[in-house]
Amino acid sequence: MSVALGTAYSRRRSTFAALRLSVLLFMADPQWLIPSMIAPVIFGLVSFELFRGYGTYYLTYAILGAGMMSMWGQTLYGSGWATGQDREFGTLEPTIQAPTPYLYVVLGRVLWNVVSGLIGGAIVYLVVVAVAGGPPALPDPAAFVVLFLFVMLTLAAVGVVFAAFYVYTRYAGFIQNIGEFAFYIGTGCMFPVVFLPFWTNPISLIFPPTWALDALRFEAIPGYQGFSWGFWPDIAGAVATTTAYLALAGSFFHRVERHVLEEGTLSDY
Amino acid sequence: MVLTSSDGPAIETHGIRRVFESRKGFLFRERTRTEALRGVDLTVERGAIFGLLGPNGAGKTTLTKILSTLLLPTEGTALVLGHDVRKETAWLRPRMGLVLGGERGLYNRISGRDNLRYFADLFGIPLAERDKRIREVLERVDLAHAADRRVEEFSRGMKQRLHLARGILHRPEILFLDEPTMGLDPKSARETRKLIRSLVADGVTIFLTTHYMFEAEELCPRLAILSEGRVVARDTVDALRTLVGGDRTIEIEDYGFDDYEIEGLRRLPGVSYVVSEEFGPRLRLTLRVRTLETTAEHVRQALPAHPDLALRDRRTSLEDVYLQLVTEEAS
Amino acid sequence: MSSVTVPRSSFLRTFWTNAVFAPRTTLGFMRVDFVLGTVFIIPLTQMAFFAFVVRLGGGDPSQIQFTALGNAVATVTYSSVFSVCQTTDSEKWQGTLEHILVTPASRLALYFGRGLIPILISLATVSVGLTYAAVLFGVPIPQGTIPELAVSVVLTAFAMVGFGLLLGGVALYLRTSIILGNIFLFIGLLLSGVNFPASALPPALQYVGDALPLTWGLTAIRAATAGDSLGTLAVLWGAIALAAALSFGAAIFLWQVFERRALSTGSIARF
Repeated sequence: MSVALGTAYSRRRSTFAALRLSVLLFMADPQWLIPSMIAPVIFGLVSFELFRGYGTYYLTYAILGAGMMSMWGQTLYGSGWATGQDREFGTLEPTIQAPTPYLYVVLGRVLWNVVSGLIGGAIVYLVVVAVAGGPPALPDPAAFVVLFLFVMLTLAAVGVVFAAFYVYTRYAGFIQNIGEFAFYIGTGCMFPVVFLPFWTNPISLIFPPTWALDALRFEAIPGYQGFSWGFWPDIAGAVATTTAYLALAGSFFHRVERHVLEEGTLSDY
Repeated sequence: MVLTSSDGPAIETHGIRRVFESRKGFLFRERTRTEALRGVDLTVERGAIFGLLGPNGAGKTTLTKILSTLLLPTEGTALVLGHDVRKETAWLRPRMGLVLGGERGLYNRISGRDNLRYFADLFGIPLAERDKRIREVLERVDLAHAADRRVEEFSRGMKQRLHLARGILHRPEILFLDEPTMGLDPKSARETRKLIRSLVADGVTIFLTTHYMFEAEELCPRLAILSEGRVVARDTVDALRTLVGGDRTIEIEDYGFDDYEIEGLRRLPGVSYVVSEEFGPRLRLTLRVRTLETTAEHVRQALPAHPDLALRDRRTSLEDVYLQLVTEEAS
Repeated sequence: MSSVTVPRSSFLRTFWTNAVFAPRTTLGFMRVDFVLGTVFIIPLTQMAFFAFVVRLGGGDPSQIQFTALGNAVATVTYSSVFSVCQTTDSEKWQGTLEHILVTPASRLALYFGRGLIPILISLATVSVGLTYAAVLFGVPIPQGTIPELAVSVVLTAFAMVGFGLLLGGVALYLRTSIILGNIFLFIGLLLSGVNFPASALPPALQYVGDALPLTWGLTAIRAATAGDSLGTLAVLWGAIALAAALSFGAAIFLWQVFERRALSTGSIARF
């Protein structure tokens, strides 16, 4: 007598399975390490040079800016790109057909991208500090690290939702390429959002990283002039928007999946 | 025996329609609609193998995807294991397996074992059983020796067997197989058919699409023929033979049969169907015969002007049934 | 004894077929909106991004203009290097590369035909970027310099597409060439004088930058907008033309070498 075995999927296990798969695929094709390492180095050096005139805290700005650019790319787009790969490999259909909601597969990939994003950030730090001849002066290094990780979490929340677009359409990668710099600008990745025209601020505030990064700069750069409400409202805004993204991610993925099943575009690549 | 939740049919569809819309063009995009399925009614009993035949583009894969919850129907209802494919996907997906086969659909850069392990985790196969189950299915599809090689190094047949392994990994109650022996050498294909039969012995319902008539005849007690999105016949193979006018087929071949001779053949007792085909300079006539009244000898006597007639008297095959029904539907 | 004529496509026919057909096989070119996005949106957002960074770093208007002009030209990398690399990758993913290579079609026509549409899109991208630079970022582009600017832009587009074809040849051997496209996109931002003068770099890095077609193209475009003499421009044009010729020549060579290598190792079908 045989009993059906697949009736007890676990969200946590599925997430870790997707994380493991991401690591295996990366190890099988480690050439992606090259741009993953080179990009942070380049961004670090460019921003180091561009921020020279900024004053005492230019090094912090350079590290934060370049580190964020590197991590933005990895974390936000990495999991979406992996979903695009699922389309190309033809593995999107069997994965959707499995009982695990696809959201948990994406979560696993986002976890990997957070890790690889952090590695990129570390590389930026080391390179820029080496070029500058010394580390930046941080008022509270421990708080900096905690807030840095918090920024990564907010990025991951957005990355999860972005990945849904790759399920929705095979053209998501093109939309991402076209909108990439606009997103960097709008979320204050390299420079505070307050620099932008006032009417763009509400759009920026839709995204959790905008709040979190502003809070991180308040903490790391004495005299920083970000949003007028200050550090703690930034934290509250980041927590609220991140929670909203994660809460909505489930139903968003469900709707996207239904749409794709109705349109019959799941196998398109 | 497989534990199931109800005693109804494994599959029940009513009026399934599926329309695809696409747009093409550069600036002024033209919308085209394709009706892949036009009202399909099917019932498949539990614990059996059911075959779905049809020409390319008939809608077999579309129907398979609808039943396996990878596509929503435009209209109609489909129940699998008594549950609605639209609304109860969460209940259905753990209990069904799907094998689409082909070159894609696997992670080429990792091993066969890692592919199975990933899907075993997505299906939630108990950890204590997972690795053992993976070994079991790899043995069953004869891939144990290559389990740790990258899939990109697999031959086409090996990839097909890995697809099959993934489909049965979680012991589904119902398994959808879309041309499972395509690309397999005769030995592997035979082993696959043996595996399919063993799954049925375990109580699994199999919904199989195939182009190989002998395979359908060998495996499927009941089948349906789909043509241009419609079911044109569904029954046992023996019953389908009578549907096309007889379970005997007499084929004759010679140069130049005239209309009078063909009409004479049509009037023979029990002859329900006569069709002619050209084979180079010769003509082949196929007669479908319902009774034993008309024999090969009667046919020869009806064609005195053809003393050197080539004649073959055989049982009507599934291929004969299929070709006749599909041709009639198309015309 | 009868002889059978084996049909063979002419060079021009192969070139033209690949020129108009190949972009359609790459997903993005099937949609006008994505092509327009590449041409109109990417330059604007990239220019704005770095302009804001310079402003934050205390840069004066001339530095902002410097960055804006640099990025206007640098965005040509997307439509030249990236799109050409992606054509080969796309053929691999779709499984059509082997079927193409098994034909007797001229490899020269096959590969170079694929560069025609990217050249046109590159020209459009740079032209739009320069328009943004003038209108939105105040980069002075005197009317009298337009002819010289046009020559510089055309040569740059050719050189960058040639560079993309060179990288695309490596894609025959590697799993994917988008990695190379990524690498050179980033390196261009640092070493080609896009965001700050290349003279600010250590000498060793300046030599590396000089090996990139983008560096010469950007230098020529800056010189043209600054109204430099025809003599100065002619030297720069010569350098870009040489970079283009070397890129195309190296591309032909590498495509042949890597095709043979890929066929012998079986990597032609791997992606």
